[in-house]
Amino acid sequence: MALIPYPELETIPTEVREHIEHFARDHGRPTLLRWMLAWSPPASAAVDALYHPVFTTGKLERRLKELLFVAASEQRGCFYCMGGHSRLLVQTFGYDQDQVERMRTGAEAEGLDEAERALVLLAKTVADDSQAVTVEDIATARDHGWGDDEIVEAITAAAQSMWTNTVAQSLHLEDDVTPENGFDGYF
Amino acid sequence: MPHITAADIGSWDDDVRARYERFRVEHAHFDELRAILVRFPSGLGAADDMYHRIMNEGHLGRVLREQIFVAASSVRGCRYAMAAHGAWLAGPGEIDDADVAALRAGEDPASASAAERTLLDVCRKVAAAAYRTVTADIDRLEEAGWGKPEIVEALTVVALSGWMNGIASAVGLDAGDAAMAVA
Repeated sequence: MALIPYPELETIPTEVREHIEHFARDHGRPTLLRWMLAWSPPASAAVDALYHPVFTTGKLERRLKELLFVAASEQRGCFYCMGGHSRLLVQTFGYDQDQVERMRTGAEAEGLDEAERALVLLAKTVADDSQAVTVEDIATARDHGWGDDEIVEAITAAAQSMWTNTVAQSLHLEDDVTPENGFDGYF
Repeated sequence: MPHITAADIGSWDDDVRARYERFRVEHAHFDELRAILVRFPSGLGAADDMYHRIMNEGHLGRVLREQIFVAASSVRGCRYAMAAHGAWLAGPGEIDDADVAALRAGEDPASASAAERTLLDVCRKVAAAAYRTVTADIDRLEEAGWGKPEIVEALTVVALSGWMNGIASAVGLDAGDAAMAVA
């Protein structure tokens, strides 16, 4: 149970409530993060302003950015963020559960080439302790063919986890998986 | 020298340049970080929009939000953010240098009220390890007089600082000792 109760839907400003309901229709589940953030409409608007530009634009594919976010969230032990976006990788990008579980650890895995794996490992270092990222870590990513623009995007996707993990973990957001969408829980 | 440098300013398109300058005038900090984010223009735009909403809008005062940002950045050891936000507090925020130094050192500013100290304390705990937050922390905040909207707002400032600390540290941005010494 979340440490703060979710706001009553009828008390939420119409625009914010429509965002929550729109997400639930699109994804077949409520978004407990956005629902909780409805306590603060500016915060709710902020997370909406952040997600789509970071994940759906730029030079890196969305599939890879979602994986980087999942890997970073796994590193930080955030089951809410890791679970929701791992499921997205299965449902939207065609991976199976075993693949996602392996890829997000940074291990060699089917469906993950060495260049992508280098970014996964960088994302996990950023998430674990961004102060520990060294110039050698960046050089390793470059050696795998990534330019600095792509590396900045990858770091940004990892940093995204530091935003959402902080809210989800500090308020103990629950599993928002519903049985109808074919998952019996987070993985 | 950062691990990744800013994009060549000659390559910036007009929209990006205008966005960069607008934020610079409004907030007067994070120039280096944002110049690196120009490499990912959508990320820069998202950062600016998020920053504006979380730091400027809502129930908590701007000075308290800035204090939370410095306190959380101190926990994570991000000197770059501590220097930038500390400078804002000492300038437009009109906070004593000693209070800024205390925040950077992980302590409460002498001018903080009891309620503010409680809020800063919980925010430091969240910044260190968010999963360790427990019901008693929320109870403490509510007993100190903070409502749920204010608590959620404070947590989003901690979240925003995590986002910015993560990027700043990963690209190797640091503040020199001189910047840290001067509030």
